[in-house]
Amino acid sequence: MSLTFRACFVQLFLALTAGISLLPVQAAVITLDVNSLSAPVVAGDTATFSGTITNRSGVTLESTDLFLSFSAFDFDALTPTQVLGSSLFSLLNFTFIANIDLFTVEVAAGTLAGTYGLQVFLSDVNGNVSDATDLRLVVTNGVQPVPEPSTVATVGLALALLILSRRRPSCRRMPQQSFETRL
Amino acid sequence: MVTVVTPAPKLVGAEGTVINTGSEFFVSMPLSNAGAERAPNVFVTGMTLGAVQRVSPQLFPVYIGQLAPGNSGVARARFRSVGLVPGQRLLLTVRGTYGSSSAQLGFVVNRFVTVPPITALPVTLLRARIQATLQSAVWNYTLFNDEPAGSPQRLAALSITVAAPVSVTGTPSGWVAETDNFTYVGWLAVDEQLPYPSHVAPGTSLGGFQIQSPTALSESTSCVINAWRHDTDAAGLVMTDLVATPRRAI
Repeated sequence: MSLTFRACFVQLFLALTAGISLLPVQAAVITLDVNSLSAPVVAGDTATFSGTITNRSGVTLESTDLFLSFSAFDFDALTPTQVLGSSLFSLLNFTFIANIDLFTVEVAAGTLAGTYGLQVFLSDVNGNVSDATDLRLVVTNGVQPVPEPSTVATVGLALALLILSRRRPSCRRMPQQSFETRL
Repeated sequence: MVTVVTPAPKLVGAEGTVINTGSEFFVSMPLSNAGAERAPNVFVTGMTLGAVQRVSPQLFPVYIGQLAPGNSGVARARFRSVGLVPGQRLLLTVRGTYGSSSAQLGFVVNRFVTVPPITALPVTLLRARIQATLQSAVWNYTLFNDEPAGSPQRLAALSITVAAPVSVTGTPSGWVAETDNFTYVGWLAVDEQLPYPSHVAPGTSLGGFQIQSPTALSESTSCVINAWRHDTDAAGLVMTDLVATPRRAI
């Protein structure tokens, strides 16, 4: 490869990468940042989520101009409820409000322990929709899942083997008593 | 248990129609899928408007449809508007499910609505209602004519949309049933001339409308009650509502 060709190739590559980086990327004009993407919750309790809302929509938004939507969750276990809007505020264009209470998620009593997913996003009166945020609720101290009989049998067998394997070496390690008497 | 949350449809509410008659608050909100994933079998399982008492639907779920990206359906409800102040903002919450029968997930859509000034409905509705009771996969309906005494509006026909296999097992005396056993059931008073004795007069009710289905589950579907004017001997007012019917298979 000649130097001239290599130089042209490098220039072309740089031009292409610069062009790609200059491609317009359509950003959401309203954004929602939830403070904690994962929260531990005891079954029967309610978790409260707060976060930051940024307004780049071009107009002032009132707190009651903003709506939360939830999707992709186990509706038997989770009940999300919007809190946003219960306290009034105005959000000027190109401003944000931080640590504002957004919503609560009630975890039904009797929910099995585990991790439950939930998707939340923000929309406004002008039809703007934010990107979705994935949340995880780690339900603890809930009802423990009952192991299947096959699992119980496997665990029992493993325990029995473990006990057996421990007994055999211990026999070999028995101290040998000597009845020799030194003369 | 771990629920995978992405990718998922994005169901959002849009500005709908709100009418405040002074006694009832009519809300009709479009539900749009703003995401890139399809939302199959969308059902609304609950609608609340702050702490206001809901009048209709009395029973959920209500089927919305298959919402492909960019498509929308409409969630409708009526609430009591006594005590509401025009200008007041209330949070309308629509809860529902989507997905196949084996893998259903939940959604919630919120939107603040402003209580508008009291206004009359664009059309005068018949003051009538239907009450449904379900017992062992048999749905019984009773019609109530809530028109004021002296009103010429007499109930003369009832039509119910169904979305499951049904058979008509009860028809009041003086009425006749018609159905295709899958999409609709209609009952019509058979009287042909005044004084139409089988029509339901104001302040009275008529039961005995009955259907049966293999399923024991219910959903709410639309129904229409038609009146006949006894003063002019012509078609009268109409009332549309949602009523419990056998639940569709998904």
